Amino acid sequence: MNGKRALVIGFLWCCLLVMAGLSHGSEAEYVANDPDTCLMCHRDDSPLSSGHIMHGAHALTGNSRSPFAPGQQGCQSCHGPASAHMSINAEGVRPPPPVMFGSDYDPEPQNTVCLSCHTADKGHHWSGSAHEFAQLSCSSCHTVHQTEDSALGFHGKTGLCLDCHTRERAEILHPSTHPLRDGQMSCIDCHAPHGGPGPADLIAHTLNDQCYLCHAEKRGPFLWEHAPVAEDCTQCHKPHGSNHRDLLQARTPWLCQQCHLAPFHPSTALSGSGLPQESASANLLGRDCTNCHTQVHGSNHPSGAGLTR
Amino acid sequence: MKHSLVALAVLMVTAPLAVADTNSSATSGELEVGLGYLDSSAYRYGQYTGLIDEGVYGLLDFSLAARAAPGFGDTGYWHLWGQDLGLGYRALGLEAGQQGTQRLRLDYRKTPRYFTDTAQTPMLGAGSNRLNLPAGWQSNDATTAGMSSLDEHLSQVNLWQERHTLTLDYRRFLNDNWTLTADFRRDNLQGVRALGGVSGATGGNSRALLLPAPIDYTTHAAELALAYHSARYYWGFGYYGSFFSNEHQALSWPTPFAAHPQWAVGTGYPEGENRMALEPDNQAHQLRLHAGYHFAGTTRLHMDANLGRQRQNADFLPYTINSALEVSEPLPRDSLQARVDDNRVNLRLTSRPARAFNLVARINYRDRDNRTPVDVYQRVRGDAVAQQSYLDGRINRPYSLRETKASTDLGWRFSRYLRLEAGYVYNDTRRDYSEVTQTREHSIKLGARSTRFDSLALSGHYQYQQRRADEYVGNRPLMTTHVPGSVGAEDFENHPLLRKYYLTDRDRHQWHLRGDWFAWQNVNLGAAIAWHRDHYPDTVFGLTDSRMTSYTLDAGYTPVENLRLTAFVNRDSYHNEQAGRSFRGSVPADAFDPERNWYVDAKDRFDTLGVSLDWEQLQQQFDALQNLGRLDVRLELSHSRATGTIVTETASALTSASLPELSTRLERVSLEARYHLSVRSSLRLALEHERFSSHDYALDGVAPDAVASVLLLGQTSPRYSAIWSTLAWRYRF
Repeated sequence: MNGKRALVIGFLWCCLLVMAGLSHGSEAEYVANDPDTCLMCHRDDSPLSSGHIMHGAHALTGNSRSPFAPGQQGCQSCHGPASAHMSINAEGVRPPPPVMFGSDYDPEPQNTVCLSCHTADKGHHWSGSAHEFAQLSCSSCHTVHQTEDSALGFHGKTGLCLDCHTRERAEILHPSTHPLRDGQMSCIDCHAPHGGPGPADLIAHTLNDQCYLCHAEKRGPFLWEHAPVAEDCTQCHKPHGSNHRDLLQARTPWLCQQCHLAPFHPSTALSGSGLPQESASANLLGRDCTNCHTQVHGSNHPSGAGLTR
Repeated sequence: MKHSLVALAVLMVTAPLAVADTNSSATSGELEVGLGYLDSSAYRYGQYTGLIDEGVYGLLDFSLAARAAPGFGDTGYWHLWGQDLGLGYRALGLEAGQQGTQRLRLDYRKTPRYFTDTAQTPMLGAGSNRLNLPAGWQSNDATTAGMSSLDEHLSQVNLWQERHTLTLDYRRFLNDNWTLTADFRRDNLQGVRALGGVSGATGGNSRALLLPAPIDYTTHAAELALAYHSARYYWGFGYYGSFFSNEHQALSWPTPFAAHPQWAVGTGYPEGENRMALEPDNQAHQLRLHAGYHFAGTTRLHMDANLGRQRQNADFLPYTINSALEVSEPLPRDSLQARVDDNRVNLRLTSRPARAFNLVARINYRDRDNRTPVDVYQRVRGDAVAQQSYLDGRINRPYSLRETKASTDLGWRFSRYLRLEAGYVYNDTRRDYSEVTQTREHSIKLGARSTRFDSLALSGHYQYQQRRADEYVGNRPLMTTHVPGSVGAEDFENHPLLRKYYLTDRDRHQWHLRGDWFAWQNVNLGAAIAWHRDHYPDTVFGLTDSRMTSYTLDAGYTPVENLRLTAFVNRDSYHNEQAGRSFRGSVPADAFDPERNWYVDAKDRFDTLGVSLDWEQLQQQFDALQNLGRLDVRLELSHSRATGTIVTETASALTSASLPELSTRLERVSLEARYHLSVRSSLRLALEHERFSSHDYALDGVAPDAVASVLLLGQTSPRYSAIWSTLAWRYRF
């Protein structure tokens, strides 16, 4: 049995396994006069203030799917039936409502509530995404009780991402980067935090397609192609930051020599002996290999087989 | 672009009016106007903002928004904003719609990039598709030393680019189930870049110069999609098209070198002409389909499928621009008629078969089928020698790729405090025209996350990937690009012992460890270690070993609600080892002489540090300031130092010398204070000091004519110290 067949069988086995997933539900009583009843304790000036939600997008009553629209349950639309929350239990404490939001609580019920309305625009790739698998909840990033959710919009999102992605936080300070440090680009220009179709939850389906959104000139197809270019840009480039120009993985000409070891200059041992005070090597100074082989992403010139035209 | 901006402006004015109902809407906004002063010109400091010249800059930010007031039953809203108007970078945006019914987003960004202002060139017409030598240019031989009038003709040329991006996203919820989306994007990039231009034959006798070449790219992209969504299943289909056009399809320039003895007559200065092809117009089309089904409980199946096609059919340039050269064989075709069919299918199954289990299984299939016609091209090398004979011609290689990937990830909450994770990935990649026709990669992943102690969270992940390749036929590219009969079966171009790193056997180990300690209620400390190693067991020449280590420490301190102090320090180290053999085609024994081996040990190290302090209502903490209005302060400090060392060692037949260290140092301190004059208005005073220095042996002290065969730009590594001060007034309403 070859590997591919084993994988297909394994995938089908997984399908059968997960068919066993069962739904669950609960019956409880809703409290009347929501949100007025809730806001008696959760008013703006209280320690457990939640009143700002009444000034935000979730409070628009004209949208029939809004939590506070006629026929909906107000606060309980998201937090669940709160009749038990209105009383003191046997331990002398007020039990929380069925669904609580925040890092102290199970993310699955939280996310289920959010996705019950937001699946159509955000949820198709959530299940199985990196953030879902890492058990993040929507509330890890979003704050719906504020008038404005700070996670929405373009600006300021990089900082939110970098709170957890600490290596990338350092990489955007490297000498060669995309313009993330001062906010001209944002992480969400390339990555879909709710899950995306591409690797690393990219917005595009493949890494190269993501790069081509801004760098379509490198898409070709060219007459003379450079094999790794059409395959995977990260064969040569590091998207988050590098010590070398153009976000290259390593310093040229040695990066080039990792794949090109032909007679004469491609295989030459390059070192300090190529500096100006010695031999002043064209393969070491200026733009080294690309002083001549300038069309490294491909050439469309009939005489450009060496990527010099 | 001009028309786009007009359209944007019209929409910005009319859309808010269309959706706002002043009787039931809540309008808010803010306007910030101010002045900024940059104390010294620093091209790199403003590389993405446009703050490159010493002087005063006007500043304007604004945000206007209206939303239906709760309880009125309306759903209309709009938000109009502008940022950094007055700087090189600027952004304008509009979002308007009716919640639950439709949404329009319009966004414009202008993003500059300033590379250097220290480059020098004798070429005239920088940024155009025709460059010329100045009158009186003198070239006595085929080297830069023979350019006797170079110094008097050098002039500064700035390398820069500006990107203008306009996007329009529209989404309409036709009813509870159907959604229509229409997205458009226009991207225009203009500027001047350094591009190497070759004169003369490649392979030993070429001459080159770095040209100030033009950039004028425009890409239009559109996506139209219709989707259906219900509680149980969903599906959608759409079309995506991307259309790239280049204003300049070719760049031509005169040869600045006097003729080399091996060049044809009339190809050196002053008669010689050169022309290269710039990036051709291209198109990409995709038909997209997605669908999903929600089985009982928590099981979901999702599918994405793309049928894609990329095309490129720009007219070919002639083999050479030099009419003096003999070109007897015509081009095999007038244009490439390139076509790549790129089809993909992704399947993803997710489930929680039990409350403690989280399962993800994926299958990804991609077929990049390059159907571009294959022909023999009888080149004119470097616009300087007669056309090649048929047997010396080159055959183009339309690379195709087929990739099948299957993976599964399993998360198991073993206990309330411990979650275990495991995964497996199989990747099968098949290529044509390459040294290797098939590679197979197996990966296993193991991980654990623990929250056993209330104040301590730990996680660890390990991944092992093993890639194995079929037989490595090093001369397959040579055989497939040369006319049959022109090369022998044992001939080679790359050394037979070379193994390209992305095609050969590889063992990869990756460790990630992370710990977070919430030491006290208001203090958190974190530490992370990452270690990666790629080993290439079958490689003699090429990249043999690659390692990365990363250490991160971070801390947060929040003594009171309105004060937050955060800090991090990071060290990343990259270490590459590679080997090669220097050999000459004219001395066959070289290729088999181990005394001509060389070894390179390259290390990049990054030390990064950041501190930030956010202190709102600072005046409350100091008795002397109690009578002042609200004062918010933000302090940020960042430091980044990068070094690169490259050590070459050689066997006895070769010699080597040490290279200077590459280094880059960036330090930035910024202090921002906002004093609230009233509830609505405030003053912001901000100071930012940035120092930058870098050293690069390939640039520093390298004069334009330092290399005999290449005329360089003589640019230097950037170094600067700049202070950016701003004073602005903000009004909120």
